[in-house]
Amino acid sequence: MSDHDEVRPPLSQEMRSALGVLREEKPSARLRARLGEALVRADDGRACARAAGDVAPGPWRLLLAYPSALALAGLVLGAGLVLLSPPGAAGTRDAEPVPAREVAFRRSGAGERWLELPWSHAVHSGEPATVWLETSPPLDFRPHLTGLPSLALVNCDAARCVHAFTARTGDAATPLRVRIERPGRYELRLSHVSEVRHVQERFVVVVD
Amino acid sequence: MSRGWGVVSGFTSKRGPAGLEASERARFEAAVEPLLPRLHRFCLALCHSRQEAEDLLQDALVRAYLRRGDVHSGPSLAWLCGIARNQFLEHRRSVARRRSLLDSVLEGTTTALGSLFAGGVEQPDPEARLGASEEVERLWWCLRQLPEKFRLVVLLCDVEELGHEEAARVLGLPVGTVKSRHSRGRARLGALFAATPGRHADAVSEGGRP
Repeated sequence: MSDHDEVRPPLSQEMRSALGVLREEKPSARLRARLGEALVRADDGRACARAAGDVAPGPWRLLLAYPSALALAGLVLGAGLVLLSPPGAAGTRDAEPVPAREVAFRRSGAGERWLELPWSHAVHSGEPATVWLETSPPLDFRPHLTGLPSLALVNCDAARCVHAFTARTGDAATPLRVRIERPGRYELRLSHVSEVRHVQERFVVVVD
Repeated sequence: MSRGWGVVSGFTSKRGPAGLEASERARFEAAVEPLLPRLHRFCLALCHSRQEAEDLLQDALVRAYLRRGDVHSGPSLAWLCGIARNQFLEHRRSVARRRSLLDSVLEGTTTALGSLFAGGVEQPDPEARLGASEEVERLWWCLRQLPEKFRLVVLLCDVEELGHEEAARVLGLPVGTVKSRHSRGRARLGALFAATPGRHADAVSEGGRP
């Protein structure tokens, strides 16, 4: 930290005024009532035990506290699962999870190697499928798929990236190859949907 | 404050016993009452939506109430903010553990579940909406664009008007770090505020930058 860092930049008059108004912001009466109710519940032995050891978020606690809210959650959850089918899914079919599979991969020699994922493309009966693939940074599959016009990087966070693309299935299925540079244990998640099926797969890749 | 916070709180509760528990609760409420607006604003600065901030405030207060015996001199702002911050980090970690990025992407096809788990079952608070002026919402929007490490320091120093030493106690940071972050955070906020003349109420109430 330098001396320069400690010099506080001046605030504009407009910002001073906004800060003053913000300083007046208080919890509403409704929120105060809600907090009061929460403290009453905390005095209940069940609530005490839950609050002491539970790390579940507030809304879950609300659901457990109110049976009617739990019923509503069930309804919304059902509706949510229907809506979760990605665009292009046949009707409102739910995703079919496939048990996780472990894939052993032995690298021979130094440098990068490509692992072809044994994904269940056959379930789509040759229909094109929209695929979402989640990888973590040591893994890269993009270079191999750059020829796919639909390839898109959908989202990334600090540890993972999700790519989406359309793949061929059946006899001429698009191979999903992942570049592996280092030994380790990697987890890849795959979701693929066609007019026929919607499948979710998880691969645990162990690289020597 | 001698009264409870709500109609079912304190001595008027039908659920809680009218004896020791109720008076303990009333004592806690009275001790926390002067700090409540500040703690509320701290939660608003941590979270990206009002609903999330209210959930956090509730969880933090319940945890503080259950651990009130830990502080013999009564609850302080630093203690309460520390609990809120830990709860926030704990919740963020547990959400990250439960969800994969792929789940998040696929979930983008609907907002139904997200709004439920973010407290969307409740209707927006009309009082809060009325009270939040455009100017305040604009400032909240700008604050939420700052990285958390700057946002909290600016909130404590410029909104709550705490000294650097006290802000350092609240955040558990060295005073020098707080001074540095205050200076840089304030500069960033000033530039953002000047460059953001429009209305951002929607961005604040629905959640800003992730």
